[in-house]
Amino acid sequence: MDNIVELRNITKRFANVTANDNISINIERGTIHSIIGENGAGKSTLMNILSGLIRPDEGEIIIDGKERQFFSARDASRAGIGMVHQEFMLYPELTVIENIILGYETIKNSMFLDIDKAKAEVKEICQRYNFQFPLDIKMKFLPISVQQQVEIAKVLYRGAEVIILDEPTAVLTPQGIEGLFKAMRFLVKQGKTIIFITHKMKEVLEISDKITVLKDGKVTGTVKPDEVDEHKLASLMVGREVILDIPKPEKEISDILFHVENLTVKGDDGLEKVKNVSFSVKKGEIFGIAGIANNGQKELVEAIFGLRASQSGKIEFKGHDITNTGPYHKRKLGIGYIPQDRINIGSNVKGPIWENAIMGYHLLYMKDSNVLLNHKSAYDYTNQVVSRFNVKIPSIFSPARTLSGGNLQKLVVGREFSQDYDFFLIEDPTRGIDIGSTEFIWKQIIGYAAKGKTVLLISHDLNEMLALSDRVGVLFEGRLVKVVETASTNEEELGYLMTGGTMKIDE
Amino acid sequence: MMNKIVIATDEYRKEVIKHLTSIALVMLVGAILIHLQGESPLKAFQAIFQGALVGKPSIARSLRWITPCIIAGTAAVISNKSGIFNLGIEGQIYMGAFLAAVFGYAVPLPRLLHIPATILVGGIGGVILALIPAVLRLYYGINEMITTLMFNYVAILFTEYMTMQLMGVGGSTAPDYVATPPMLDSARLTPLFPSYQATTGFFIALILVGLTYFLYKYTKKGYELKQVGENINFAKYGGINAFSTYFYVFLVSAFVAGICGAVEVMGAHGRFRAQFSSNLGWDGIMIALIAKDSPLGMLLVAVLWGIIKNGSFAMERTTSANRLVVTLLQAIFVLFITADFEKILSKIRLVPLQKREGKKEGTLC
Amino acid sequence: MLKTFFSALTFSATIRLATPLILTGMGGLFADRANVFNIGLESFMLISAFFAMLGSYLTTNPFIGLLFGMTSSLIASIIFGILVIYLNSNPIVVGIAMNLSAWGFTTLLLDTIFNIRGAFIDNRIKSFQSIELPIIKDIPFVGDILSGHNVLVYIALISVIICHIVIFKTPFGLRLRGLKSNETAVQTAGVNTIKYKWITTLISGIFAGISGTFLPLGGLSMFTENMSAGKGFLALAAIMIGNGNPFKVFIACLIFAYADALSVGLQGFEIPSQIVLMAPYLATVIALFVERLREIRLTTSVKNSSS
Repeated sequence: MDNIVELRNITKRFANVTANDNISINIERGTIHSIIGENGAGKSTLMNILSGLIRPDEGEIIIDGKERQFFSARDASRAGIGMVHQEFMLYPELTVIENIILGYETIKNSMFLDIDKAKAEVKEICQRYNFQFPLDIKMKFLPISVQQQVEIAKVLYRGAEVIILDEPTAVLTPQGIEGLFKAMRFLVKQGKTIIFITHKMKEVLEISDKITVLKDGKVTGTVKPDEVDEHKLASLMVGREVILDIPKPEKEISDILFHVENLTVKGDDGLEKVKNVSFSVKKGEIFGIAGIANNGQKELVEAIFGLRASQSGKIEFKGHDITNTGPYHKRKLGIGYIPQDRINIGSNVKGPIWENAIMGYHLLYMKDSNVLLNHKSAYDYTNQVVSRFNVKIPSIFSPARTLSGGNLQKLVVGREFSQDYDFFLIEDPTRGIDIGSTEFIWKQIIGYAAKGKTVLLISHDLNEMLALSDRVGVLFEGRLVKVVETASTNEEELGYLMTGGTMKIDE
Repeated sequence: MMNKIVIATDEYRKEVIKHLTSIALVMLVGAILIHLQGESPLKAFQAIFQGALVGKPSIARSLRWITPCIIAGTAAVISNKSGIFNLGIEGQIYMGAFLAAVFGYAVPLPRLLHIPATILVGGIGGVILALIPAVLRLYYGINEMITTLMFNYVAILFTEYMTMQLMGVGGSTAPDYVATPPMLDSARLTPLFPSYQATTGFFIALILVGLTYFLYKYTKKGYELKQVGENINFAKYGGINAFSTYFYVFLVSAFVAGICGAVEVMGAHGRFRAQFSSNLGWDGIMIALIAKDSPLGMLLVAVLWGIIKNGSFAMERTTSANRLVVTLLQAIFVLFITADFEKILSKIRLVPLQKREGKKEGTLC
Repeated sequence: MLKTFFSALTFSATIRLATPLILTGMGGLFADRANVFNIGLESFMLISAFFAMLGSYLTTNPFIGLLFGMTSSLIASIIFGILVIYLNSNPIVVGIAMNLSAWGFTTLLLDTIFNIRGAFIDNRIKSFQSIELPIIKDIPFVGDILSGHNVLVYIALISVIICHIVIFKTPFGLRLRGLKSNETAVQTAGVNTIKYKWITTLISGIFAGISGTFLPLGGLSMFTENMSAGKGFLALAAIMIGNGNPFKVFIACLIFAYADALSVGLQGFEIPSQIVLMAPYLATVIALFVERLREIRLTTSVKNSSS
């Protein structure tokens, strides 16, 4: 067995999270080795270590039989490791050739760029590996699939023997993916080794020579594609012990309160992130939206709340058409939002806690005056929120940035919940939260639904999804693949749907 | 309530130490500069102190200078707090001063009407100058710093031109000698002490600061302005209309700046003379920066600033030191105060700050 | 009067008046490409203007003045760099404070050393000599425009070409362009962005030094209070309009200088000096607006083509 890369006992910790826990993987030369896992499994961290951007806390990296220490991306590059990041490291204003050679330029006359020589070398690479792209056009004019080719050509130009592709298919059309796979097989035939990072099972089964599955920072299995099927893979990827078991009280679910029809939303890059999604949520229901990160959930919620424009489709609430209206309108009608980004969107960490607590409340509820801010009212409200939601604070005047993540989240949750909205959009309410606060927040959500409030819950934690939701819709690549009753599904099925399990996807 | 005081002491303690250290350093530099001028630093500092605070004339003159400092500082605070950098305060002062001077001269009104009307006209002058930069910023995202800076020069030149036109003076006369005709008495602010140049403008300044303080602390709009300035995403998420907020803030800041100019001509000057302002707009900006945009803090700094400014004139009269030493020191003080002291200390003591691991942590995966 | 718009005199004055803008602009665009926003270029110019005058005064040699100017400006840029790059202070605040400090400092020195307020004229201040370019000076019209300037003007013109070559034809320039385009990406390519920020800031200091020297020693042979009079801001605007491309920045500087030159030429006629003096500042605002419109048009067309 000729291993070009050996990772031994790699461990990396951040704050209170162990992103990589004693990971050991052997990668054979001339193969396509996939690493699959769900959100937070540790794939990106591991690859950042291998490509020199992060130092591991423990463990060794062995390249070609020799142990190597990487102190920078350049070190890894010299060792033959090239990484194509999920977010392309490209310069939109520069031409293709400039993008490829930047940092590793060929020089003539000891001072000037030798573009001609560089072009010749790149043309040779393109010929050898069957790439086709123009060299003199600015990067920003090229479509994504071509940009990806350029990224691969870039690492080849730098002399990579091992090419890491981090979620390369996330931005490609089916045709683009076929093209990519063809290129990958070709590269491997030419002697290169590819590490393919993804969360999509179908792809992994189609293209890999070997598959390593990561879950919660650990390796749960290394298999060959002919040894497993999608269900087995899914079970290696998901599933953790259910730590919390919250009893769900009887409640009444009545008519449709909220309805999304044929909604299409574009992301920041101009591509459609939400494709023709339709679903309804009934009053008193907790409707979950499951999916691997970046499959459209963020854009969906932002469009619903009015922080992002939708391109087509309709959103209805309580019979009103609320498509493309702003947050103020949404709040006025009775929709609240607990965002995923609690620091940049959900709060103002520069300001004191009480200013954070009254946001929204000040607009809709402090009605004794339209102009004046009633401080007593504000402080009372803040104290209420703080005590009811168990937020540990030094004082309501301390800056919000002094709060721990969990407490800040409780504050944000508490603020929204205390404002008596009828419909809550909730994103990842317990991400990075300790177990006690998680239990608390879960109880709150269930309690509110029992009182007749309605919840749209987006979560990347399947455990949470199953514990709280009545029904779950799975988003995959921007489409709503299936809506299931929680009572009749489980983690494996959800994980399977989330990673594109073989269901007929309507075109 | 006790909690509030405990927090306040903790936070402010660091700030106070920072300010005191800066003052000490600045005074040291000042002493050196004055010494190099061939003057005794002690004598110079004494002259400043006496000229500014000893005797009724001195105090009156200090008030005269404190007044525009407060108003200009208020204009800067209003815009800074919401994330707009209005560097055109100087020009807006000119516009306000000019229009007020002309209105005060040309439109006879009973005093009760004339005073507020003239002030209003001055404010409008400031707003006019800020309209184009405001529109460019809000609809086209063009950096307002450069545009307002450019309009400073436009305003200075324009008012100079208009003054000369008004007086029918040819292009060959030196601008310093041209001024609008004296304003009518009904437009002049009442002096607080006979002929000592301090006027009721001081109260106007206090009212403006008071209004600003009140706005930010006790009104819903002020709360919203603060949120827009500190985290615009949070503000939008909460349902605040950020767009109209920015526009509002920009123009109010310019309005106040215009009032500053109006009060200057209605008070100490009595007429508009081309190139009259001794960098009052920049004083206001620096005051706001030092006070970290807090209205009450700004008041304190502006009072001190005005006192020092007056003292510097006195120092120049009675010693051989040049008053620009003080101007220089004021600017250097801003440099000191905005440096991150903690970072300096950590680098000196080699206390490691949290070093960021690698360049990109990578998305959760 | 219309002749003034197109006269050789006006064009010649344009080149002369553009020189300080061009020099500061060339230096400043390097720092801009390293994502260092320096609103304090004005202070570099003013400080170097004073010390350049001082150097020439002390030795009657304008080249010594140039040396003094460049050194003082370099020191100012080091101060700026320490505050902004090393200590991470807000570059806008530092820039404003430095501008005011420079004004106070130079005016103070003028008073302290020479006992002068306002303008300082002295026989000992020697400007650079005019140079007649052989051959070119005999070309009709063009010769009048290009020949007869002092060496700093020609340095400015040549610097445009040199800067253009450096930015577009060297690895340093390529990495700088990458930095502006995507600062994160360039770090993964192994570029030390802090080093680049420092280098470009110092470059802007040196160029501003040459530029500031031109103000007193480019023919006026005097120093006036606040001699830089906003030229640093105009240069900054030119950099923004030209998007850091030396040639485009050059054109922008020429446009501003043309407006300035007209004010001199038109003074004989009915148009008041102040109105024309406003021209460069208004031109800046207009140019920023036009450039922004162009950007918007371009991005929407790109977005439409890629989706």
